[in-house]
Amino acid sequence: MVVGRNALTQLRRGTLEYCVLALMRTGERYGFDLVRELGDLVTSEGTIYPLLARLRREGLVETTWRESEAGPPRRYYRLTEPGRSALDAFVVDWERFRDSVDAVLLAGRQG
Amino acid sequence: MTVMDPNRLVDDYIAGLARAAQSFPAARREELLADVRSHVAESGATTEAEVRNVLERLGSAEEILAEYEDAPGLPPRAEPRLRFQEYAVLVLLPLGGFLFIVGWLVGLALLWTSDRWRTGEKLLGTSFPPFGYLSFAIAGLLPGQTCGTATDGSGRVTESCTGFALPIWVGVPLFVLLLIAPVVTVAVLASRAAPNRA
Repeated sequence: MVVGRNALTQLRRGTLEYCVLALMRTGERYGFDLVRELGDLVTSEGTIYPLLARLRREGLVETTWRESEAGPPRRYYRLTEPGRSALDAFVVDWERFRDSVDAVLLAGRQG
Repeated sequence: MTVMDPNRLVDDYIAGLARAAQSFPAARREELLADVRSHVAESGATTEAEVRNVLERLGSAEEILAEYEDAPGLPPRAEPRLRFQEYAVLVLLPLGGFLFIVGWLVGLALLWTSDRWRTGEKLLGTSFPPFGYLSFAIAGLLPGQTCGTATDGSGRVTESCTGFALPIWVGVPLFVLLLIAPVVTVAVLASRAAPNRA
């Protein structure tokens, strides 16, 4: 269904950056690691990098290149204070949004 | 399918991405290429099939670059603080008076229709001083006081003056004020101007 897929794309687009921020809540992450954890939420995995670059431009994350124990150096991403606030605000908004949608969908199914 | 060297596959992919991102600022392009190279290395893919799979999952260059363009949440392009209208105000308020006063009136109209200044600043622009440097010029051209001495028949010297003069303690400060006021006004207006303040 074309309409449904579009809606999903829109939803993904609006929420993905906050999912990325949420993954950094417990500590710093690198790109490949984030992609692995996001699973189905990222369709073209390469798009995570423009997204991360944007988050950094907006000051929500900061980055450092560091050697990894094995393999090439990694760019690590870490939440900044504004990033943490943005994430907290989104979580509140999201929960309210999710509950409203659920309530309407459920009412539609029962009615 | 012909057998391809996996490294060659990665190089081709990166080269395609670099070509597609040609119009990007160099720093942004290099950053993306480094990220993608690192991603492939992290994946641990070595065989041709594994590398193909990793590249496919990364997506096409178009898909990746599109993420830069229609990205949500990009800050809106900043509006300039001063447009042609505001520059015209900054020129016409001090000097427009010499254009048969009409220039100053046009400046005034532009001042009051601009959204870059608050009412207080507009009042300052209007009244400090009215007609800009024209007031200074007029104050300077006013006929001053002329005094002369006359000796009458009995040898008495009398001094008489015609015209009008401000006491010096009023005249000098007023002159200085009229001289610097337009500069102060222009400086204040230029520094305070910002979109959507009216």
